[in-house]
Amino acid sequence: MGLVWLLLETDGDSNPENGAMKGFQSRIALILLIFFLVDCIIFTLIGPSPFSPTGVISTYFGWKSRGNATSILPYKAVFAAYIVGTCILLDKWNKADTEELMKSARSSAQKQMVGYITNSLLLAIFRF
Amino acid sequence: MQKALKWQLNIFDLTFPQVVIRGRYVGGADDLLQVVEDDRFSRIIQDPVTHCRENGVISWDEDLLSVASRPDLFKVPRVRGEGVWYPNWPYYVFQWTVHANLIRYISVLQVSLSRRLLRFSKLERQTHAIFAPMH
Repeated sequence: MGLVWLLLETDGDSNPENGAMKGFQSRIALILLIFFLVDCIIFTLIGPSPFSPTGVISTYFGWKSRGNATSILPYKAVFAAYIVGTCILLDKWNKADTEELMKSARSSAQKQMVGYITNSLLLAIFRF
Repeated sequence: MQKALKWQLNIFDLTFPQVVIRGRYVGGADDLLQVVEDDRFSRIIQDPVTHCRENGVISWDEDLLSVASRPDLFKVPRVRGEGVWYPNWPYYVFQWTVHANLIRYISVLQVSLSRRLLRFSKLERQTHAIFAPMH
């Protein structure tokens, strides 16, 4: 449940001047990104439950309105694309040792996140 | 009509068919097949006829009620029918099917997670701290 709280409630708007907080936020971002990656990998290789954290949360709380059974393959394809994108992002992030590369990594991270949000929103609403 | 059926069956989302045997709600097609597989069908058709409750809501089969109210994390849903080729593998190997609405809920969680990450990356534009190299 702590993780759910972190997903839904953690606010990134803390004091940017605070050096310790900067490191903390950077680590939180990295942890969230790795969590996202691991979750997608488990979903793609096995399935939503009982191993994928978001799958377990969804199954537990959405059991009563789980809907009918359908093929998981199109969704696994989407999640596999998320995995590839996130791995590329992590690689860029890791290799960014100059200001220029850092800017590029940041910019692609933002674009990627907007893409994920748009795609996941479409999945949540229309399921395609 | 669908609203009335949802209310009478006391279900959240309506798919077809919905099976009622001797006045007792048994579930959808999958649930009926499960009933047949579990050899409960002969018992159900011998049960006395159950009438609707006073408020008009149809009573549920007890086994269905226990399955519906208890989340089963280890159950891989089955798609059954003509031309269906999905293998019925256990939960710990590659799963081929999913409950449709779970995809929606997982996606909502992912939107929340991505939103959080986007906020972090935007914040870093000002602070040069987030999405910075970890070394």
